[in-house]
Amino acid sequence: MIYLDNGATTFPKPQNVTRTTLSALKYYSANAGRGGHRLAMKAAEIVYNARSNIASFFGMDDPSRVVFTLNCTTALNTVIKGIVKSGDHILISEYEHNAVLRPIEKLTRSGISYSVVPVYEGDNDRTLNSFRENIKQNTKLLVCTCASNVFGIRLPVERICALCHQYGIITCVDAAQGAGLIPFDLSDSSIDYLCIAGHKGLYGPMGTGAMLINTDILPDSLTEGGTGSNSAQYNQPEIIPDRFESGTCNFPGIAGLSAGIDFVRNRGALNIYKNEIRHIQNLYELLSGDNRVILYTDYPDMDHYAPVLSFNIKGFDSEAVSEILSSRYDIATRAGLHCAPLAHKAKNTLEIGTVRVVPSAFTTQNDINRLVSAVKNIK
Amino acid sequence: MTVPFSFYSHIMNRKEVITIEKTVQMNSVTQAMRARDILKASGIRSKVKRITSSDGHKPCSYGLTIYNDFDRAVEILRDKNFNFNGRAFGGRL
Repeated sequence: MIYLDNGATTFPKPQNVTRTTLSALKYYSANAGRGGHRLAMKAAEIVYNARSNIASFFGMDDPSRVVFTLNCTTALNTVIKGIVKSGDHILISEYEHNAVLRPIEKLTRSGISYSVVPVYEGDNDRTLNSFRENIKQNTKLLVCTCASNVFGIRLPVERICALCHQYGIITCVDAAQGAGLIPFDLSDSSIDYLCIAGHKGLYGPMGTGAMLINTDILPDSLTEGGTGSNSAQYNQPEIIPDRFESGTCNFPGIAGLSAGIDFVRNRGALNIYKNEIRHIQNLYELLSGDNRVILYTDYPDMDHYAPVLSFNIKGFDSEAVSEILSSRYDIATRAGLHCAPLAHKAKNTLEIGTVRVVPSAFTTQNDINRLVSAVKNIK
Repeated sequence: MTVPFSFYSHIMNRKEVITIEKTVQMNSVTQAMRARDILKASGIRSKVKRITSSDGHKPCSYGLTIYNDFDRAVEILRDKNFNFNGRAFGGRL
């Protein structure tokens, strides 16, 4: 199979990830942070090392500010629902995933309002102004993706967050599609919360994600329960990460995520990014020569795009194209709305969706060539 | 004169007792491990352990046993805003 659905989750996982995940499950799978016996302490050490690894990868020096979650969605929900109160206003971009849109839409029933801010592709100054124009007196929180999961369009999140800080707005970046590719240095950043998926560009197993806390303002906990600490207290502990980590953690997943980060470190995030964007640029050039193919963005340069490309074939439904690519050519892509109706609304593809191609560190030029050949043969 | 093994054993046990008394209770296993790493960078040896409910501590607690420079260790951790959840065994906090 040619796997180009890495925007959903990367596949295959690097060998060190599968090996470490299996090893954690097979040899060390006691409950981390819940006991004092040798195996429980070993498991706790593995989790702590993963925390430290993630913290340093994103430029943080305090591992306790890395909160493990099941995925990026849970991290985003924790920030969104834990920060705002009735009467508050939230800013989001027009390229947000349902992981952002749906929790915020639900909060409108509790007296919270939000604005969807237009983004100007390739013009970061204009995009920044667009955010500035939408700030209100009661704007409490910004939630913004670093890159569209459908069209790859990058947003100038550092500048947007710096702008928001000028107005006392708490900032949260959805880095589901960018972590592992786009560099983040939280030691010198206006990002208060960085929410990441562990199983995409960081090459960890599914069921992993994290909320990175880069501020002293803490959200309320999303869930409460056993943390293995201060158990005599009826109330949830205030201390991080325990405040946000009730219940048994995904121990083998966390071990694997740390191995995934090692993989990215070894290859170099920038090298991976350059290789992937080159594949997307080649694909763009090859597909733009076919007048039946519809592309939705300008030429994807590295400054303005993540390695994600959406297209359609005139006269075909996106789901049909993806199905043909799968059944006839064994090429895995993703069709439809990609859980991001706002993005499709922005590009007028809400009715038909798009076929999305996302490479990984393992994608080759031959994979791209075979995809182009297959697309040309769809009639 | 030959010193009986039990004498050395007694000394060793006493040393262990002294070491155990220099354990501070931490708020969580993560905080304990972070404290250990910070102390290690300052040349202070320590170990994370589960501590018992004796000596007035409540169950489900992790502690940090500090093997050398206890007072300096406490000072370092306080500078890093560590909140010791309770008192130390033996040491002054």
